[in-house]
Amino acid sequence: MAEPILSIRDLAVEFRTEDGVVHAVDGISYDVYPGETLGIVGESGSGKSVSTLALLGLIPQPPGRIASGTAMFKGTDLLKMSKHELRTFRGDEVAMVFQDPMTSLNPVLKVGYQVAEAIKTHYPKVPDGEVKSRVVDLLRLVGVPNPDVRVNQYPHEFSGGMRQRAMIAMAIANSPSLLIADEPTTALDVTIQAQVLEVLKNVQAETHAATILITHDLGIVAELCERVIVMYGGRIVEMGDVHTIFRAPRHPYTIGLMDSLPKLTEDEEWLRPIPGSPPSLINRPSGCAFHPRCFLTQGRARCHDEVPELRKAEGTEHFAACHFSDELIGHHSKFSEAVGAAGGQGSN
Amino acid sequence: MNATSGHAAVDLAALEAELDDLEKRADAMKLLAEKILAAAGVLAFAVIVTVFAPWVRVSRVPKIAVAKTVHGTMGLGWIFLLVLALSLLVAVIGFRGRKWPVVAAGALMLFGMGAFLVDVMTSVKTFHPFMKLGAGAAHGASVVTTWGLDLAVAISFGVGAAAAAAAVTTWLWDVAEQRLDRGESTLAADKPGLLRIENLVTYFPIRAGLLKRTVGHVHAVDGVDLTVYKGETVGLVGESGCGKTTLSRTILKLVEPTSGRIYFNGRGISRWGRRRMRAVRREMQIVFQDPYASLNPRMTVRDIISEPLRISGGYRGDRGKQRVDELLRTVGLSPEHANRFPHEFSGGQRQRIGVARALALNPQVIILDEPVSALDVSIRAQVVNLLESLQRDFGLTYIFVAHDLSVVRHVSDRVAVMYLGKIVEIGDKHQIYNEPAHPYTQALLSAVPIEEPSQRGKRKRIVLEGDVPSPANPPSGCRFRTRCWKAQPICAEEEPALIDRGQGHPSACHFAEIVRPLDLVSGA
Repeated sequence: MAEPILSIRDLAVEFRTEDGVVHAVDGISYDVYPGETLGIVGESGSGKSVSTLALLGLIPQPPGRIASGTAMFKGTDLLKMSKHELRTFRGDEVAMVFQDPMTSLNPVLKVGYQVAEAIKTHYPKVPDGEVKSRVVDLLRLVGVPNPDVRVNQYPHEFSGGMRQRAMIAMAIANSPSLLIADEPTTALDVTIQAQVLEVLKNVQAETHAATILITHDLGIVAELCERVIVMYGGRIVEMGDVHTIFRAPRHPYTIGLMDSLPKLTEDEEWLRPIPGSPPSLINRPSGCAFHPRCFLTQGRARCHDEVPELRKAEGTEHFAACHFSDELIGHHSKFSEAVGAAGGQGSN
Repeated sequence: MNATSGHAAVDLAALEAELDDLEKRADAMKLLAEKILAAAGVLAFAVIVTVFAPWVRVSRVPKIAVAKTVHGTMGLGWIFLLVLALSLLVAVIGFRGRKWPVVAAGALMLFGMGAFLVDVMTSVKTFHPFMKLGAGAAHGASVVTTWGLDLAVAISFGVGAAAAAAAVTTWLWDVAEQRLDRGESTLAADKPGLLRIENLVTYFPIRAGLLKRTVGHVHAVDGVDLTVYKGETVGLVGESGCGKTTLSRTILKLVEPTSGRIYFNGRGISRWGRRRMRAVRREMQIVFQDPYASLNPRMTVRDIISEPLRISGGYRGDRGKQRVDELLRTVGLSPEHANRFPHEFSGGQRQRIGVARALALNPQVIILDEPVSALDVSIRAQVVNLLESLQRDFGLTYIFVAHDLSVVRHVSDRVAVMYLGKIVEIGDKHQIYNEPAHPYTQALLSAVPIEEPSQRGKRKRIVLEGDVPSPANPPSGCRFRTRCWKAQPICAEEEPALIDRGQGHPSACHFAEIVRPLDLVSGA
């Protein structure tokens, strides 16, 4: 594989609170390769957002603190950068699309101005006329109809989907080599979500930016991503190629997550939920954070004594952090079962 | 009771038409009473200012002298007029569709005005203002001949007349309302299903300007028919703003319907007031979307769950405590949780508390308004399973409002798809998911991300253009036509009815045709 564009090693982020120290992210390592789409999946509190916010220096410090780690991006460590250096970096080389398009645009500035600002901040010498035509082009690229008119409108004149498009236009304004999208469609309706995902796909085809897509929706991952990272309790529990993970997951949490989803195309009598509730990050279960909810533990002491390492399966790029992941060989997710079933239905 | 003969059927149809008339009349009367009341309020205020507020100088009239005369000689009338004004205030503020404040205020007003007039007659005697109308200041006591007193009498007449008119209109309104209620009860006995909604409309006024005048309406629910049978789950899907939440709240009358009928369990409840609805809500409960906002943070779990028991009078000492413990066990919590506060629970547990509260009175119908969308994926399945097992154990009927199409498929027997305040398609879940006839349903289904990466790109995706139009100004004809790829001129002219167009289930599209958006496209 090519050289990674971003290489994170042993990143740990903590928050000091009145109740104790929250270990939001606890020693995670992963690589992002040029041009790929990497999905980070997890439930709320799994650390999926915090791990990327830390890269851009967007963790409020205090109460937050980056306890350890390096994040090498094109030969420089993002975590060691000064605020000033980071400012030149953000929105240029690395850009971010946030979840809520209603609150991440400034309501008193025209949309065109806000997109232009992204260019002007990094390249102040670009003449105004050029910036303006670039903004119109960007809005056209993300599928905003009548971009000439829309540049002079305010965010309240944009619908939710249009605002998210404007956010994407802003993020890709300087052709970043890494685009981080944090739950970009969670606040949107399903038909609008489909539009925005389409835009993200087109944008990626156009700019060839590596994309980190943070989401809790496995469907979006299945649709858009090439590689997936599954996070639980601030740690990576599984990482690998999207097809492999969906077909043959090697971590009980991933299996539980997939099993608990109802299917759009099939009837099931009962869902198979994961018992219990997500861990508190202040008082995380010892050893493997998932062991109190895990069907594979079966009372084995190793699960609550020892934190499992992210181990690579033989001869693949598939990693899982489970002591007993070998016992899952031969297990197939309900999604892989479905392929045959759905295919059969279609042909009959 | 069952009307089987043709004759009875005709009568029922006539009754329906009559009820529509009655409804219009009742609403007109209510509006009139409201307006008259407002006018009377303004008049009464004028009385006070012109005569009885010596500290307000609106003219050069020696007010203090007038007031003194009035105070000195007409104590009784003054007090009554104050009562009058106050009662009007109460009536205007307290009216809001209720009748008793109008009647009470009307009576008080007449009484106060009468006393005032008697006082004027007896104490002012020879120079009663009416006697000297046009004659100028005949008497030496110029104090009494100022226009202030004339005005007061004239205005109090106005107030009295307005009060009487308001009382009469309210009475007429009440009569119409009672006839309506009798008519609805007659019809209700004949309606199929446990819950039936006919042509339900809920508009929200848009108020603007200094006077907060109504400049338009948000057509949140605009003519919905739905029948819910005992023991089934009806899923209500649609995008945000399609009116699914408003519909569910209107059914429970947490929002007043603008028009239309709701029949529940043999009763016509569409125009029932708060008190009568209390009995209905014992049988029909709701679980809200946000488990963080729907539980009072200052109440213990026991208080929250027992609140419906206390209100309905069933909470008595040990028996009530046992009931709460039992409910907690039913929803998968333990009785020890009863003394804790909501903040000590996770989202999923809170939603269980909300479910326990809804179950407390053994309802027949539970409206579930996005019960799992605020929960994490792994917890969502737990709550869905809980809801399903409760339905089996207690024979519950669910109306399940959600935007997550996979969850709705899993829980529902029948599904209604809403778009801009209307049901565009309804059928059993296999018809809706496997053989959708309406383009919107097809687009909605195809927009859901494919769950399996190996099927990527193998499903035909219909990406809709644009956004949902504003419900304040919905498009003419078919509301979906602005985003529809099948739209023809007829779609703008004629609104498609929700009828079976040969696909086996009703859909509201002129060009209804089964498309299977979930099937894989071979060779793609």
